Amino acid sequence: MTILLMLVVAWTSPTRADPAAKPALGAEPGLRTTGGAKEVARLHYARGLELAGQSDYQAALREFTEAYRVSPHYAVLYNIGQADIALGRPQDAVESLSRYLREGQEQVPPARRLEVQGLIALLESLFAELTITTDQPGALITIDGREVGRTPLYQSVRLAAGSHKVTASMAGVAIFGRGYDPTAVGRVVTLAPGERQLLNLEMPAPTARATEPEPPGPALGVATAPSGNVSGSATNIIPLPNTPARDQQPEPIPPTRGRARSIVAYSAAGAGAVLGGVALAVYLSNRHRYEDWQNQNAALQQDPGAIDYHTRQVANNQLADSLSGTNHLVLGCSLAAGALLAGGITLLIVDRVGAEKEDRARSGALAGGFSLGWDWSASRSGSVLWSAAW
Amino acid sequence: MVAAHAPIPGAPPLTGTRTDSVARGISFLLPLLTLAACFDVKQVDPGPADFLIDDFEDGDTVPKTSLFGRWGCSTFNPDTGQDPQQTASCDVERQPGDQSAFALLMRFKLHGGPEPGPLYPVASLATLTPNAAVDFTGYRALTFNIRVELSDPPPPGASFDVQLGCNSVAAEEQDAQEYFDLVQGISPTDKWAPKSLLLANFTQRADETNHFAGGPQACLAVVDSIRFEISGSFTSGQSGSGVIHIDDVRLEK
Repeated sequence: MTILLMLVVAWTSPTRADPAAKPALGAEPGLRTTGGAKEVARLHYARGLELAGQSDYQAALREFTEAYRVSPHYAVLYNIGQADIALGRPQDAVESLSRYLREGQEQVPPARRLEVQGLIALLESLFAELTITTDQPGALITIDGREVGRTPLYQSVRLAAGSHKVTASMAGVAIFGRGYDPTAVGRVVTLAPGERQLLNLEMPAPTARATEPEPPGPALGVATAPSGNVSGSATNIIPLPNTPARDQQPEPIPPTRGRARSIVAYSAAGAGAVLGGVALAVYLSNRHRYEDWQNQNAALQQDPGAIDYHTRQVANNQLADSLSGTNHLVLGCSLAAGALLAGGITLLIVDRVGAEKEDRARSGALAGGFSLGWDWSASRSGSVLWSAAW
Repeated sequence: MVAAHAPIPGAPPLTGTRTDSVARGISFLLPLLTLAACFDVKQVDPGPADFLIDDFEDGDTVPKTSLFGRWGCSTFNPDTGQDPQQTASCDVERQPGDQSAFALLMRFKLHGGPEPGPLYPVASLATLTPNAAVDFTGYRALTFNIRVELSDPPPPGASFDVQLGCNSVAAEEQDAQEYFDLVQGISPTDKWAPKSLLLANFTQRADETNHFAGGPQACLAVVDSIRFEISGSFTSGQSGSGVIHIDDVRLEK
């Protein structure tokens, strides 16, 4: 999704500069800016442009945001919106660009207005809506690690198309975090652009709860725009009442192909580690026997005419036989451990690369639907142009 | 579906290049390390199970094993006072052995003294341990080939036995006895014949009253001599002689 949004930035690059921005600085009615504040804002803005040129969009966004905070100018919102796009925050981008049009009003050139409106429409077409309910009130809903609010949520949540991890926890600890929360359930929901889904989560029995739930509070809207904003995708919207939740069953999270592969990978790597440990333990536990053999062998070589030479040599040969068997065991375990570890790690790599390819493929498919004709290399090289507001 | 691509909780994220290197490193380095860590052991030929004391094939009277010293001859007879020489004598020569090039022989001559009572002259072919005593307990039998040629008439009351000396063994009674041994009689003929004396059948002489602490096994653990002995019961004026041939003296498992 991030890649797609970065491509969107590239797509919009021909009209990136906002010719109306510079003369409008400080001229907008109602703005209480001083000459010093403008200078500070300009510096932040210039720094933001520089960072954006270096593809450091996070830092660029900070600079643009600071510039806007010090000296609010509608033109900066365009740059903030593009930084949001580059950072994979389509909702924030839509908000920034909408504000850009709203605050810029007639100062935004018509061509730029059309471009931004198209961009907003494009971004919103990538959104889907997810309505989340739980069988018990007060569950803290988290999507992709971000808290949404406690149930009942009074609004559906607008999300970018793709897979999202949804958790509901009576204790407020997400199961996708490091800790294990027995009161939580988790689902992975895959949303297509423009799709609406209903997800009903059944919470664990109250006896399993670690802590008492807090009283339900208002939802912290991640995306509170009405569904009507999803323009141009009405045919894709599935009416809520007729939309059975795709992932109705709570625990466990349905295994996906990637998840199964990950389980296999981690299992293989774990088994490899265990076997490696076994090999090491066997080796270490037999080191004293090997030292015994070495000492006895040296003693026998020094005294081949000993009355008990034969007996001792036979015993030492038996010890050598045993140690040879140990060698085979250690070697076998080590080879198996190496193979399992390498296989597990390779599976992880394949899994990761496959996931990235999948993401790219999906992003490409979505982008292709709009005939955007992205130039990935150009966008990646940081050739995005930014509005010169000052 | 991309639900399974979350990193391991708490683990640093894997990057393609690094994990690839790690995987390669593990797959190649681990077997190499294992090979390096293998125990370097080898089988050594333990040799024959029997312990060869001497087969005399080297043409000398020094045993093959360094645990025993040069073969020697010894006699025991009361001094008659009329014979300035030893009343018994022995010799060691190399002669063709039993299906081999060399064997050890002892010529002996025994005779009684002038006294009317019986005398018991003895001649023995022996090897002694030059250093520490030797533990025979790991073996089952003492084997050798023997042939005896006796004069005509033969020495009166001639008897043959093998003695295993163990002077360092602890006695049950700390008296003045200086010599301890285990004895087993044999009946050689004038033809080469293999003998296998079970070590378990060696016993202390019946006329010795001071026994070993620990029994015969204690003596077998500290053997300090091997003797092939001939003795007779002579009266005044009687005498006898002969030759004892010995070959392939071994301890058998």
